[in-house]
Amino acid sequence: MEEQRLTMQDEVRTTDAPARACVRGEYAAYVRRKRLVLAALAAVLVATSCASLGIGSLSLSASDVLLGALGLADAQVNAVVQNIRLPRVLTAVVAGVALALAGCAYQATLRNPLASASTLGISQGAAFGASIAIIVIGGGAASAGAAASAYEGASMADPLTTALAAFAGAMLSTGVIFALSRFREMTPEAIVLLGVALSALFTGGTALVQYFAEDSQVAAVVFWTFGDLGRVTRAQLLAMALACALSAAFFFAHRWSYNAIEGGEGLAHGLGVDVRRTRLLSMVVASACASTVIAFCGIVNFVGLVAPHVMRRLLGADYRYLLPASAMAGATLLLFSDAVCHLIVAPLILPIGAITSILGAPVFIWLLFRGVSR
Amino acid sequence: MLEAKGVAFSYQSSRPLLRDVSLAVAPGTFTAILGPNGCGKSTLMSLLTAARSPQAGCVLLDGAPLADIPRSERARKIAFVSQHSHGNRLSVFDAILLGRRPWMDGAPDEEDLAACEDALVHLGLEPLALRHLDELSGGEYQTAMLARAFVQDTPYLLLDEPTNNLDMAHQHRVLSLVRERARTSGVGAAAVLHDVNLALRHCDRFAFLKDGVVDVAGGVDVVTADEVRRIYGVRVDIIEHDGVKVTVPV
Repeated sequence: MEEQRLTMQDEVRTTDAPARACVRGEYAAYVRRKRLVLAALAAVLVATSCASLGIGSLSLSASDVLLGALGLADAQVNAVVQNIRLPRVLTAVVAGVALALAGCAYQATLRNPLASASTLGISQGAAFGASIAIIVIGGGAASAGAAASAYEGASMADPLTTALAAFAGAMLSTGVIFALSRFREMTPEAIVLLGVALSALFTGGTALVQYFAEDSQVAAVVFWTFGDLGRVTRAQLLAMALACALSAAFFFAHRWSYNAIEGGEGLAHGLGVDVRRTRLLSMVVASACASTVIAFCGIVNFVGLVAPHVMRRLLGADYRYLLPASAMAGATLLLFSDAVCHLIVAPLILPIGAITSILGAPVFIWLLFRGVSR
Repeated sequence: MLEAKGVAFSYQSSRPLLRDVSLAVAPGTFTAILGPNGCGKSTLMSLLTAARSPQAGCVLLDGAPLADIPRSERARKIAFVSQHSHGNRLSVFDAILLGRRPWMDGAPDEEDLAACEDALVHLGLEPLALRHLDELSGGEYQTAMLARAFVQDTPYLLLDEPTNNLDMAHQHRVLSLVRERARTSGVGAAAVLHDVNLALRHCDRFAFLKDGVVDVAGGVDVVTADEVRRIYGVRVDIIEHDGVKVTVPV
């Protein structure tokens, strides 16, 4: 009887050597292709950075830039490259990497292609925090120092106070999500919806604070929200780089967990991933990472959303490659946007936040029409 | 032995789902978990994988409470093929490689890659190795999920409705692969199934769940016309074909 059952056994193939060698070779080639794409992205990033060093009101050749960076050109070129261009390019790279990685981590752990700093209430929270700093805290001091303000007609609070308040505001929505999830299990959908609700709350709060403010204070808030890579000091750049490096290490260490979570919670659990913990921790790290950038640079939209999406199309959803690729794409996108800001109506420098949105939105729409498979 | 001992679980206290369920999955056997829709089969699976904790009773893995076993250790003991999983833009090879996560320390090593190759070739997936999961048919996808569970290399294998939405050929193929795994590698397997005939064809242990308890459990003898009628409310005849029982609704 047992024999008869086995005769109807559906063909179960036995291992044969040529097929194995073939699979192995193909996979090795596949991994090489992915690495090649990463190398190409790195090359594009380096090239964009170098080109970006030459762009500005004083246009410099490649050799000027190189000599200037080493301090071997004439004093003016040295000063421009070392004090203005290099910090700006490094800021763009660090900010782009940080925002893209944060977006990538949000999208992975929330399993939602819409998750990013601007849809989870982080940007809006930052704007609210900055408004409070500039209007409420900085209100008294600003009227005295208005004449010395960096922007004509705009009063400013102490930049560090603004940055700290923006950081606190940005982390507020994550804090709320984190606190609520301790009482009740939050599904990814609930987290995203909560983010949307908090965004609305912060936007409303910002509007109210602005309504009771003076024109010059509102102008200062608006300037702040525009986003500006040039206002970042060296110490701030260092803080951003540190936050970015730590988060990158955290995300990369969780690359296999993200791959598992993308396959579904049941699967991830079966593979030994603590889904809830990974999700909350990743959200906190991503928010801290994005908030640091937003606090210092102002609101830079869309990089965190677009960079991972573009790379997902190009490389697939394997976070081993998607994380580094998104990071490089984010940096390149921000550098490119920064170059556009400087070039389009030179010598005027357009606000970076507006340009990333204007460049990013059509790319995003194009992606949607090509059919993002998520 | 993976066993549930008197486990109870309900989502709302007013509506008890599992009241007192005991079930054992022994090495080398393939258990079918059967019962009407909504009787708590999938919930029982989530208790057996420790995705949920029982509100009463306990789940033991080789005599130790499952809840006390560290996550990473658990993933080396129990593989789970979920009813709900999502195809995404991950290559089939990488998706199967993911099953090695509990054994990997960072990057996959030679052994991990070799295990994936073996599974791919054994399940006939090698032409699909570099295709994205979301480009596969339902049957191919489920075969890949099975390959992933196989490379996880666990002594226990649980499957929640593994034959959902599969054509006849794939239904039999998936279950015969699991059966073969149980027979040749001594894996203790259990699957939630809806098709009693599929279960009769491939499984050697049967557990019928109804009203929060195991109505009956045991070998093929427990599958009778009376039992099927009691569980599903469907009148059937049971005939034998080539030594395998088959239910025929009358």
